[in-house]
Amino acid sequence: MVTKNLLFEIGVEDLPSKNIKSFLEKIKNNIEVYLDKNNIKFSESKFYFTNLRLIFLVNDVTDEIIHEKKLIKGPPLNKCFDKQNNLTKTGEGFAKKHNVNFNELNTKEIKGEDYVFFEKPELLIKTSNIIPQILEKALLEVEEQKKMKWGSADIFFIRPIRWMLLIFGDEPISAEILSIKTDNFTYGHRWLSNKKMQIQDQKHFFDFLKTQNIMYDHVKRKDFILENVKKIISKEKCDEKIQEELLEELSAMTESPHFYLGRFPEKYLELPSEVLEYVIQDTQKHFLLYQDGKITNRFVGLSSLKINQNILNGNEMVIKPRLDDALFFISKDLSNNIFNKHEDLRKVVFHKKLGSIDDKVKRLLSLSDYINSQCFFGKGKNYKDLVKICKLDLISNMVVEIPKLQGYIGSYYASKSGFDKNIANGIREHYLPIKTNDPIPENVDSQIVSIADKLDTIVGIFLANEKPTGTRDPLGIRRSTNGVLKVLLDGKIYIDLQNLIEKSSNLFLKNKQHLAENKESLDDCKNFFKEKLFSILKDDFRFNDSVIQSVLWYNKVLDPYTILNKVISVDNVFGNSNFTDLFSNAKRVSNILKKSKSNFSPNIKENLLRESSEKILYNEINGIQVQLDLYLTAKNYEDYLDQLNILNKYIANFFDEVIVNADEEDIKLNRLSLLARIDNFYNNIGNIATLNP
Amino acid sequence: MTFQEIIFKLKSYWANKGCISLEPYDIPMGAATFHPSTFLRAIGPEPWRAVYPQPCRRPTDGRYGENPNRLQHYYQLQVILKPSPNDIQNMYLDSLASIGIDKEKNDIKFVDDNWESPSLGAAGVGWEVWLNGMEISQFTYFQQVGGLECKPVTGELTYGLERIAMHLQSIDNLYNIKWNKDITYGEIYMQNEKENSQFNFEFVDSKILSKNFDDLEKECINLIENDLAIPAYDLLLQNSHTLNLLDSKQAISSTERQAYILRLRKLSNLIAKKFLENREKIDFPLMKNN
Repeated sequence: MVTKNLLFEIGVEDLPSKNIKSFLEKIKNNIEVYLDKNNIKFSESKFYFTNLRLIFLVNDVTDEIIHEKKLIKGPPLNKCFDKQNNLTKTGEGFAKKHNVNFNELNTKEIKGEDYVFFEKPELLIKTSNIIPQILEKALLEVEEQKKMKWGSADIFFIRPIRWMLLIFGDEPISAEILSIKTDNFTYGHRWLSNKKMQIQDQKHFFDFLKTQNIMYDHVKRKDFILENVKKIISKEKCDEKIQEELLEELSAMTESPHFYLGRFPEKYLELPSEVLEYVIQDTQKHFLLYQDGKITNRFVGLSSLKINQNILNGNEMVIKPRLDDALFFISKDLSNNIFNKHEDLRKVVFHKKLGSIDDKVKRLLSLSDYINSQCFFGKGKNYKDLVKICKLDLISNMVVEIPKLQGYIGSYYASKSGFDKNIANGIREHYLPIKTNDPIPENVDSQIVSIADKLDTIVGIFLANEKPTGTRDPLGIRRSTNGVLKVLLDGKIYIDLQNLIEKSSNLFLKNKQHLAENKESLDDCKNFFKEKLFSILKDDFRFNDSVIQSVLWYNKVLDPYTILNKVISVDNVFGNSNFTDLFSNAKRVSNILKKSKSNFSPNIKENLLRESSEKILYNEINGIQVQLDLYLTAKNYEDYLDQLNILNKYIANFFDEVIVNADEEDIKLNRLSLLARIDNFYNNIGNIATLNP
Repeated sequence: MTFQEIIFKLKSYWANKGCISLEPYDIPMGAATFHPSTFLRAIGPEPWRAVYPQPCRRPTDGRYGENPNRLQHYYQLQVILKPSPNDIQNMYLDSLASIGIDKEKNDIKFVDDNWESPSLGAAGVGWEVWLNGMEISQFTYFQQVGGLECKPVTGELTYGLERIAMHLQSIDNLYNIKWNKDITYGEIYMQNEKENSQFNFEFVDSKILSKNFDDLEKECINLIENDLAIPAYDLLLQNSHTLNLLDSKQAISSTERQAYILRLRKLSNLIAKKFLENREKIDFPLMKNN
């Protein structure tokens, strides 16, 4: 069978520098799906991209598809003619559907009745005829939030399309895709030649791009950049610290990278490192160089042209006024002494329904007291001082100018203004953790404020009826919720979140009359925490779904760290052959109790115990009770389950010898009481009866 | 190349591309986009090509003439191409060549930057254009203006003239820009920056301004109800500048500011609709060439 290689290039105006790879992956998948649907065989499909072109390849595509000869059954012959022997609508319709006259159809007898048949001839379809439709569908159906229009046409795409090259084997396919005429031309290096070139086939295409110094392969291009940046780093004897996100972004912004080492005056090194990183990495998109973990006054820049003095000087010069502005703001802020301006926080809006940051700070003072007494046994000493100053950098010029520096700048100003080191660091730390791999705050005071601040935001948003839906996530409370949970889990902090949520809600209601007490939204809030905790236990800790569920949804107290420990203990024995009986007994006990509708007292009457096996079981229960209670108090759930595991053989004997549903009602009820007590042992950990190891 | 030569050359380059050469508008504005030649002409089906310089005022950016890179009064050169032509990027690059910025010697980057003007109900997709790391232009495909979907799409090119001049004259203080061969930017505007910074930050009377805003808003609505979209738009411009002054005096909190922006947005949406209606009534006269 003849096969050919397909080459499809879309020339675009500069693409955005983020998430292009996944955009192309989706298009590629769409192409594969539609080729399959049309029975077109191929060996592999690939894509490449630069900032100016999207390239799709499909190799060894069958040149023709054969639709084999086929008999298509129609209506019964007698339905095709009326009494006057005229052709009916039914008959005419079938013929018309297949584009033939009725008398060209055949008839055939099936089970004593004649039917009309259409004999569909073998059909050869040139793949090249349907490729354009397939490509158009693949492009139209790709989900992309940010599509745009340009010019007068009603086309939407990620950026304006400037040309389309479509070649099958060594033949161009002329068609229209998204109203753009396909052709066999491509363009060379934008800045150097912008040469228009007629292309014969795949090989010729890639050869041409190479002569133009265009690195079309995004993976190789990224590696090339990494390698070259590393080379300069090692030559400069600097740390091999390369920001992955920036690497990805820069590699999406060029098709022919060149490199230079730039410098800025050393006097700017006195700026806080976050400011330098913000200006040089985030804004100017250069790789900053670090030596022994400290920022140097050097950076690696990328250009799409060979480096000359213009490029180097320009890029170096542009940084200076930005850093000057930062110096200007910092000296203004320091002379303003923001730490004396508590009342200015009244002007900073926290949320339109929830008041100002000043209101928030007042709530945090109470909430942090509560957290300190409930879960830190009063170990926090300076958290109130921290609460009072932790939001003050929001009124600084620097944070107004660059909001993402909140916390960092506060810490910097506080240490310059002579605050205690822990308090100064606390301003930055109380925002932690922000990103997935961030550590939690180090000292107790910062941990208290971190929990209080995030919880206040979360509860506030639920009270304001603005819980996250779909892409809407006001004040980023998904991240805050994960943050609170991470601090509790990593910090090994026990707390009853339900009480804390209610406490926080009361603080809002006390001061904001227009917020109504709202039980439903608080329940939503608690469930939100449970859902997030479930995801953490599942995705980060990789526990089994059913193990998590048996503990998480069964424990009445929403104490994440306790829940984690219980899940760990159940997970340890789940699937361990020594504990098989524990699970089956839990299930058996629970089933019997569920079926019995009797009212039995929780007290077991010794005098009603008849058989030896129930007496022994009773004694054993009493024997381990004290130890079990101790383990529970110590939150030592592993030893608790070990201890509980001892009961298995006594429970087995009990079931062997004893009929729970005895004829005498009081004996039956007494046995149910006995089982209920055992059931309770399991339930102290979770709904173990639901688990099937 | 002097500052005024840059303006002459860019204007003549774009005039040769079929743009009508216009002059700045006579009402203070924060960006050249506010000029009726951009905002109003981007509405509806009629084609439009124009080039004009526009002084812009951003009161909060005032630095009493002490910062060599920030001004509360500066210049943009605006190019409007409707519908946006297919070779718009190359036309732009050629325009840079016409003032001596050679794309083969300078690193030019188109950096993804989506634009939004909440008070104009406008949004677009496009780039910041970087010349060796310095932003020298904004390049935008309007998607929506005055709350109306753009059909056809207008391409907007906005040149930051001071920055381009600094690059061409190899200087790092904008007050040293040579306006012509004898006079510098600073000699023309330093006094202006000092006095207006004082006015913006210290002397703005917020009571008068907020009353003005309320009054003009009423008048603006009245004009719209009487089908006078163009004068209504002039009042909107004045209110937009009023809001910027209130902002620089730090007379309003960010919630209040949000509320003001919403009021402007409402007006701009009404004006856009009215303008479209009015043009339709006279059968979109600029469609004559299509």
